[in-house]
Amino acid sequence: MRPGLWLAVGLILLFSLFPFYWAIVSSLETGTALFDADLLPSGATLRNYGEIFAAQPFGRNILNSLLVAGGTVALALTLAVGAAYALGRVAFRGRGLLLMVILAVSMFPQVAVLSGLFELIAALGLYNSLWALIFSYMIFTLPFSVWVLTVFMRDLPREIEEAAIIDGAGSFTVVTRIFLPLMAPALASTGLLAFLVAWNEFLFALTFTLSDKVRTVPVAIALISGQSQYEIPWGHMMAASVTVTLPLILLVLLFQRRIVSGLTAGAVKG
Amino acid sequence: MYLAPTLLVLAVVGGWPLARTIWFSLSDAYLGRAAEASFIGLDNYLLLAGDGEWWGAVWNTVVFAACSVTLETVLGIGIALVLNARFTGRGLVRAAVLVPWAIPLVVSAKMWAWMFNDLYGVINAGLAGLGLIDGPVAWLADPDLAMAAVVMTDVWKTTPFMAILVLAGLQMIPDDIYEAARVDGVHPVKVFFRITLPLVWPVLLVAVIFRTLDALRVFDLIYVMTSNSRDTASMSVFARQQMVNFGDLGYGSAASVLIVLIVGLVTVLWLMAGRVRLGAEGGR
Amino acid sequence: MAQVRLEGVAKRFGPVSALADITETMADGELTVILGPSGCGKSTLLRVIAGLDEATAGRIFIGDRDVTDLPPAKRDIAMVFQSYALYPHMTVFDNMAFGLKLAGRSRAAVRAKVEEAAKLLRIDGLLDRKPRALSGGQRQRVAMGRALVREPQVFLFDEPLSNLDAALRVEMRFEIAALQKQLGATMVYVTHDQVEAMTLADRILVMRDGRVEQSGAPLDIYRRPVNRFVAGFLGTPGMNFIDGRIVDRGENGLGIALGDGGWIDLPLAAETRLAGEVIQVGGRPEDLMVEKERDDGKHGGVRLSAEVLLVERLGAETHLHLSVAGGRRIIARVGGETSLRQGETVRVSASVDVLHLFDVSGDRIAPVG
Ligand SMILES: Nc1ncnc2c1ncn2[C@@H]1O[C@H](COP(=O)(O)OP(=O)(O)OP(=O)(O)O)[C@@H](O)[C@H]1O
Ligand SMILES: [Mg+2]
Repeated sequence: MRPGLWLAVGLILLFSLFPFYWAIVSSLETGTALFDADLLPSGATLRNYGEIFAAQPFGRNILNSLLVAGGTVALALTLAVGAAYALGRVAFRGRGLLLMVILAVSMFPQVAVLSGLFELIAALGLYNSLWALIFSYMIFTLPFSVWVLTVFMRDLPREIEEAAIIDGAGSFTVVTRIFLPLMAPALASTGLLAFLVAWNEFLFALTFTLSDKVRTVPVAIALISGQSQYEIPWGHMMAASVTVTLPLILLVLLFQRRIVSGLTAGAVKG
Repeated sequence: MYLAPTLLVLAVVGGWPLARTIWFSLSDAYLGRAAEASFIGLDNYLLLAGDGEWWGAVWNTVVFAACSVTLETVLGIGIALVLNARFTGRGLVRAAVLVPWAIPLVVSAKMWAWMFNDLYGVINAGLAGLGLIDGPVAWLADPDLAMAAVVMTDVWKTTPFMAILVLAGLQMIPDDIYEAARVDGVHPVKVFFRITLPLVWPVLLVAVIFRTLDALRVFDLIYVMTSNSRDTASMSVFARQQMVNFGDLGYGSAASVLIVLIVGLVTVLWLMAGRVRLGAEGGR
Repeated sequence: MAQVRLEGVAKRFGPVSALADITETMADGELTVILGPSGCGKSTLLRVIAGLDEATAGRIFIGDRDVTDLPPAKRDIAMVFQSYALYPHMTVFDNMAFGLKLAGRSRAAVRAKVEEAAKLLRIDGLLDRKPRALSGGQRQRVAMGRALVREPQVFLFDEPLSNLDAALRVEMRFEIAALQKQLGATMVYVTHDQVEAMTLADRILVMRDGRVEQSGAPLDIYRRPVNRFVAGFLGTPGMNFIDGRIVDRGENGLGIALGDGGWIDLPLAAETRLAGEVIQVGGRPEDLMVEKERDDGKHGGVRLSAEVLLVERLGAETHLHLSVAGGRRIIARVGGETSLRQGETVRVSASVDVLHLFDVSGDRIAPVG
């Protein structure tokens, strides 16, 4: 049993990690070294990394992604905490149905709202701005956040809320002084997931932005191109890929538990 | 009220655009001239029904979804079972498994596209080294192989999600059930099919539904790896191409509406299948 | 401090009636225990007083104020919950200070109050700890401290000791009693533990199905339960009931035929109107006397033979499970040293004036006992 287990573990590790390893190897190579398939980088250099920041507004793209993802998280969590309080704590008719509707929104195929959203964003004068992205990302981050936080809020003991009410707290105080601190772990999980989703989003980012200056990282990487159509700068591409992925991987490793609990809270308890 | 802002935002970013899309799909709207559009009934849908390219996209999507979800499920269960075993360094391995999930889809697509590169890709080099192929294989140019490459990438990227959910399900199963089975001398394979699988079934079902819905609306991966190529274009790629590249808002919207309907239908089918299956379990 | 007065209070949850027309006064400075089986509406009554649940009908007064329409914070009450409901993310100090801070008291005043209460409850060394780092008994004290600092007119307790182990429960019971006397506080205390009720209460309300069945001093209720339910609810082991019928024997006065030859003489010559009525006779285990069957004709008014089914020796006392006429089982509580054994046939007797008689509807028949 044991050797089999270790073999399986080895295969899993190879499967999971090799592609990223290969991207790192490639990102460190330039010229012809790039084109031979040695497992170790030959003539490692950081030139690709230098070039993507020099030749392209890649720093700017990263900043855009940070702003968009950060803004999305902030907005989604703020709205979701309130909604979760209402859905998880206040009994009213049609609560279950409302929750289902909210969840259904996150199931929409993105293309289905693409044209309407495009029109709306243009009408609001948000086209080609980061706000357009933050705003449109609500469609998948908000339902998810509401869902997870509602599930969590429902599990908080009712008596704590009542004790606070007797202590003279209004509903706003209850939410901010009692529930928010108690929900910190859930907020962290949800926030991280929302951040990742917003950081990775492509379709809206591709459609609602036009100029290099407001592009987010995924679009920028997808659109990296060389002098001609046949000369794709793979070295640059891999360098850019590694640059935006490393922080994410660190984030995931660091917050592994939070993320897993966020993912499973959404699915297992639903 | 605390709910109002959320509902308002969702109505604005979800409800209203969906309604507009439905309206566009019944009109001859063109990009940039949406205001002048007039109602043309179901013409767009009729046109779609006879459009081979659309049906090609539908077929591509179905093949993609079926292949990748099946592979992910099997692999995900396998990985979850391994991770559920006790061994030193399990935490690290679990973290490593999450790595593909954390990598942006676009980046994954590019990474794999590079690995699948016909002339310089590591996959061709590896296969040649093992003597399995004699010349370079044009993975992303050949229609069938391109689909295989896309599926492969998707499986790599999303198996972690499946594995983590199944693992969570596995960890909710109390140990004493396994111990009881061991005491009764039940064969491990039988334990898996008769005990483990039924118990993680609810979690698995949710994960599979999530993944199926996701796979049916796939866009980024296919767009980035094979661009608008007809051979691999998914329904979403088709719809966006009609709307954005060709400016035919009405036609693209009609396709979008059909996607919504298909996704909805599949969800309902899954839920029904799951319920029937669960009912059978309960009846025993 | 103030009294709590309920006038016709009712509470419905949809179709479920949790409280029905309750009119009661909980006197100033007294500890009133609300006692009853699970689901009878004890918590609901307390929550209606607290304002956490709104009464469907009736008025609630605290002191002279009608508080029916006031929110909980304005009712001048404090509540201690069964789960303690401490704020997990706050220190003991902050837990106790939260209400005062919200009320806008000055920092110094808050600190003084909290420290005073902490000293009283002997938790002044724990003020910087989080609830997680406290034992059950300490959490209980913090919960009481949080109530104390509010200096409320009325303290409400919902089964505050039920999460503690037996020894701590006794200790805390003692402390609550001491505190109540020391503060002269009005307290309303919900429990389903009779020992708590009997030892703590100045007055007990026994509830069933949303109604108050009886209220009064603990021993009064124990000695003169108004109906079968109250009689059976108080006391462990519970009161024994045997069916019987009142028979008029003319010259020889009234008696109760217990079926299967059992008989009780009744000293109620005047009450012949009861003759023929079907009743239930109740006797507490400790009021029954059990002897070996001897045919000496003396039976002190009660004649009932039984078979010993089980002898439970608890040391200080012994519980005898007996099967009497018609197969009914009763329990008698006798001394620790009894020589009776399983299978023996015994004679059960009792002094007539400690027996309780209930009519078919379960109400106490007034003139007896
Ligand atoms: N929020 C509610 N919604 C509907 N019914 C309720 C609600 N709260 C209580 N009830 C019902 O009211 C009745 C009284 O409940 P309550 O909690 O007051 O009982 P209790 O005497 O405190 O019981 P326990 O000793 O188990 O705590 C029960 O039948 C209960 O089911
Ligand atoms: Mg209760």
